[in-house]
Amino acid sequence: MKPAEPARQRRFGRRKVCPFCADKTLYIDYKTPSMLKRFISERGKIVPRRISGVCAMHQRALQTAIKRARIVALMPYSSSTAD
Amino acid sequence: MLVRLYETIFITRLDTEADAVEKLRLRLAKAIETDGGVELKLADWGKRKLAYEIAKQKKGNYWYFGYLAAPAAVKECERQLRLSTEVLRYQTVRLSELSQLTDFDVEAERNRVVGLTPEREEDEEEQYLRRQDEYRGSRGRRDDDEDEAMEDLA
Repeated sequence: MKPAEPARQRRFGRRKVCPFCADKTLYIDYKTPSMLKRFISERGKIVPRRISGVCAMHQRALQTAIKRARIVALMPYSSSTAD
Repeated sequence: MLVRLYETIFITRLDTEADAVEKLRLRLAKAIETDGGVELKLADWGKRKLAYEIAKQKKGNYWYFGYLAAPAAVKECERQLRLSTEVLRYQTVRLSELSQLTDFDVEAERNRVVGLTPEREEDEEEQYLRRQDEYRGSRGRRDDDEDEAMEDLA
């Protein structure tokens, strides 16, 4: 559940910039779970971009990368414990 | 003959003997070469903990295999991996659009696939403006509704 702070305040919060747009050398690769790990929750779910601040294009790339990483057991489909 | 660039990751059981892997490699190489493919790279990533158990195994030995092959050859390659009892899991990913045998640069192809290399360099101001636009765009109606719902609750 989100903290019950007034909506007005949230609207003027700090703007998040997509980390992949900010650093063009970052390459989204399903073979680097250490990097992808930042974009999954403790449960192993993919973090929505409304929270992570990733842009649409890179979120799509992330999505495929994470799903591919899951297939070869580099990343979990789900985990009951914290990483 | 038209070939494409592929990479396959496969995981073998820890108790797999070296010559079993070598045999598998030969079978894969044979499959690839049928239609003018070329084996580029076979790398042993070594032992790794699996993110989840596969066939009761908690750890596996990862192998990375990069090659040029015709689409039909990939099918045969995957069939070989499926038949092998040592292989726990495999995955093949195509790395680029059509690529010819002669000139290719694996590194460059990799970058092209994901489309991270911009076609035209933006200057900083453009980037900033676009990011702002994207930010506003991402605050969709759904989000606003949520905010209102929160207000209603309060």
